[in-house]
Amino acid sequence: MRKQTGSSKNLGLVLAVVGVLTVIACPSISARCRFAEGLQQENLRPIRVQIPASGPAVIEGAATRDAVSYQSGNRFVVIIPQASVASFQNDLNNEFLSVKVEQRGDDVEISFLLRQGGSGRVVTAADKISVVFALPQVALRVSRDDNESQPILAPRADTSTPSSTTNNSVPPASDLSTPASTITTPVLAPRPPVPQATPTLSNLLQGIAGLIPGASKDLEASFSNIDLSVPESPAFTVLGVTPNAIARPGTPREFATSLLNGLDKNGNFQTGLAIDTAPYMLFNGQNVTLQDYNDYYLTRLLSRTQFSLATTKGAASDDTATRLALGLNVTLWDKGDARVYHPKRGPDGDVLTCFKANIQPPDAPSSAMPTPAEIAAINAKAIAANNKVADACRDKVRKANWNATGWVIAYAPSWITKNGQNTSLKWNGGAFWSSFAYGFDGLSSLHKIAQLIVHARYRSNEQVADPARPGRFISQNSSFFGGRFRAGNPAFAFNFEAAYVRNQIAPSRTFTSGRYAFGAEARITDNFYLVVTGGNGPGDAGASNKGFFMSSFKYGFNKKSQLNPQPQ
Amino acid sequence: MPENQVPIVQIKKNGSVPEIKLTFGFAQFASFRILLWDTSGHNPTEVAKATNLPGEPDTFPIGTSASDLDGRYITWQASIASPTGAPGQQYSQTARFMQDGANCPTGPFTQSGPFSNTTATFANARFQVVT
Repeated sequence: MRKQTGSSKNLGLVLAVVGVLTVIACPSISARCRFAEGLQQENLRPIRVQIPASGPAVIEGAATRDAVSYQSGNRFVVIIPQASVASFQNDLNNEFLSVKVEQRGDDVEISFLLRQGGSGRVVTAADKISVVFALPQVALRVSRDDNESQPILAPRADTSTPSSTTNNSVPPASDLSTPASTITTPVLAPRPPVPQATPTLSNLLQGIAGLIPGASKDLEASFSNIDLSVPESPAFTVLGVTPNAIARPGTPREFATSLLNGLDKNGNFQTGLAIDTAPYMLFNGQNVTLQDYNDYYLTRLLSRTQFSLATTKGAASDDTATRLALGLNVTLWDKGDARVYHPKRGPDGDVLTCFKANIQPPDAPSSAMPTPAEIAAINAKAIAANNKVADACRDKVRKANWNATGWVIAYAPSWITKNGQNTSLKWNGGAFWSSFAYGFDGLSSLHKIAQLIVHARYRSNEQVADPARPGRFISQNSSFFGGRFRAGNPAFAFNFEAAYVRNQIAPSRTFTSGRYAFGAEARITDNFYLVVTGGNGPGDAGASNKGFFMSSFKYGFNKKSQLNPQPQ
Repeated sequence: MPENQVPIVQIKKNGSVPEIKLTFGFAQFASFRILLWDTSGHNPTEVAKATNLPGEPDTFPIGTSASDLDGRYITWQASIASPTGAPGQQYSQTARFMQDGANCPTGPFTQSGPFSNTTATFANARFQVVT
């Protein structure tokens, strides 16, 4: 150990004395401290946070333009730099468990504690962002008895139990303007629906339905919440991020620029990089004609293959590791591909046939070569007219082909580097998704009204919050298999779905669970539906390697259809 | 449009009737119209009005003889629509002039760029007959 010199000893002594004096003198200089603090506050941009009883949370203010967001475990965090909270209104939204608003230096951090398996994303608008919450899918849940993690399928209907986190009191809104304030608010039970005032037939029937013992109004289709989709940008999904600014380069030059912007001067990836593009179209799109697209499977496969790249930093303050993920989304088969020409389906069932019948070339110039201004006017008129018919064509065909047969897969490997250097990147697990949808082609009785979806996904080395040790993370590998059959029309609809989950937490703890659910719905009159739902689902069994069972059967009356799979 | 900005298409006086081939990239739909004008840029006549759907022709003869085309203008306009309607679409439109089965010395003429939903294009050229 190096020997301290006399001068450094003296310097340490002086600093210690100054520190003690500062502490003693603090009350006398606190006014100046507050003044400096106030000056700092004046430079911060005010934001308003509104959390309605239902729907997205809204954050307003010019500072939201610079907002960044990420998801860490079951927390969705929005950070707004150089901002302070001017007002906060919370109407006890039940789409998440709690919200915490915290002033961290010059930044405001708004953290939403999600329902297990839930997710959030940010939708940006001018000087405003909305935080939209997706319902729970598959997640770990804390067993209240033994605090042991139990992987289950979290049921969507599990909203009635008040959940609390660190602080159960709701402070007055005025407290929130104070810097360094922290507010955590729990979400209480959902409010009862407000009775409708208009005396329509359906309202009268709703009133009568309320008198029937055991019947419930607005019965939620709680069974229809299993996510069977394949992410379009798997790299973002595997990192659990919802980037606010995604580069979607349209040319090779833009791609190169986006990539270079994501590298520092030493060629290492910076965090916050998010790129999503279709590489084949990016580099060869000029040569891909509709004829080639229709003639060659390989052209279709490559044209629709989506590539994504994302980098992010750890959510915790002491987690400085950089994570990198790549993603590929590949459409192996799609009988509803809008670029494939199906003249036999007619204009109601094929976008290109509809385009051929309705989209016209720009008007011919009258009698002389047009001037640039005349060309601009001709083109503007054509675009305005064609935009409407193109939208109508797509919408009509989308409804007709809602159950088109298709198969999509995705893969996303990820890496981690503790020091931010590309040379020290290490494998950090990956994910694979596959979804096959079958539209019963050739079976006339089911072809227009039914769909079967089979889904599988695997995620390795996923870092999830450890329920037994708050603030810590554990690694798990999870497999998911699920399926859904749905059929119906506006008059009658049926839905059945089932799922199986297997989670392996290193080194040898394995949990499995399964569930199935069904629902049926019949329209009695306009805006009045009889609904029956049932099934079994996951419960708190409290034992590993053991299936959960929680059966349910409900019936009720709804004002609108929830099960009809056909888009209206 | 100023005269010096109109691209020139050179064709051989004794060659066959020239043809124009219109192709559209990024697998986008296009509905187009091709017009042939007189030497003063008046009196348009329609060469073709078609779409780029699979199985439909993309190559069209221009006029009745190469020698008649000297100094005349040709224009091609297209409405391009995205079948998917997804954001961030790109389009590319290329016109090639051919005579006796070979590409004419000048060209091809390409327009490209981003668009959403639908877009419209206009392009023109003037023939110059060479011996």
